[in-house]
Amino acid sequence: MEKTLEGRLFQVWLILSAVTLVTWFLGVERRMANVQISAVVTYCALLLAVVKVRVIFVEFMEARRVSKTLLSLLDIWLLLLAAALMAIYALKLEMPPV
Amino acid sequence: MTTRTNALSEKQFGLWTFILSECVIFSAYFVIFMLYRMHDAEGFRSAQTQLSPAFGMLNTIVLLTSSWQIALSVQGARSGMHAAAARRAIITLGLGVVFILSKLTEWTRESRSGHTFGTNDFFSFYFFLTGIHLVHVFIGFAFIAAAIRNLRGDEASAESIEAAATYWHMVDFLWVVIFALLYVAG
Repeated sequence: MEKTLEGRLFQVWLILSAVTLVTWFLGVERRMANVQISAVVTYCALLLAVVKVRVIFVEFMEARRVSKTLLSLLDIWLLLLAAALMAIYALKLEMPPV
Repeated sequence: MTTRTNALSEKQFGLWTFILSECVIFSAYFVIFMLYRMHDAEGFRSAQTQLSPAFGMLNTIVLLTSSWQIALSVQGARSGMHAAAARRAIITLGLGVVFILSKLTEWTRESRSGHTFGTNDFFSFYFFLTGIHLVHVFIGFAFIAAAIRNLRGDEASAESIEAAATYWHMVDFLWVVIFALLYVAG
């Protein structure tokens, strides 16, 4: 196994773990914050999740290596999901009563 | 990093189609969760404070570490180091067990605090999302166990562990979104 590749995977893991710690810290802080700060934390948490998932696609799943079309499909899914979640939050859309 | 391949094999195509369909199904869960959250924002915020973000964070780190280990396993198998690749895959399984034990501990803690599936909408989603995710962890175990068997056999190849790793990474990134939604976003 190439040492450089092994080192790169370690760096990826380190970055993902560090971002997770930042996300966790935001979650802890949000509990003591007001609604406005809570909204900022929510957007940050969602954006950080998008970054982490994208890194997993490229670095761990090697989606680009498998097929560029595949990576595009995964990117489209990720962007649509993030956009939908943020739009629901921003526009205060609700589930209609069943 | 490695040479690019132009076409998906039949098996790869099937696996990726499955993964993309799982993405769509989980998207529906996440969107419905968010719609319910906005219907009762205060209720969800209040219920969410009962969860321990530390559990969510530790589970995320455990899964990310397992993803890193199985990625190393794939690289080892491609280099022909099948025994080392099998060891990395076993470490991945071990971390999966740690994730399950941590999840069961968290569920027990919540149940003892009086939070069950029927307590409120937030806890219904909490048990549903973490439960359905746990089912995928168990399916991942089957994939990895089959890959370890292949790596230890006479006709070891990288194909089996590559498929197991792809599935396991999906389990990982779905948890990343669940962590953000259940434990952090408010």
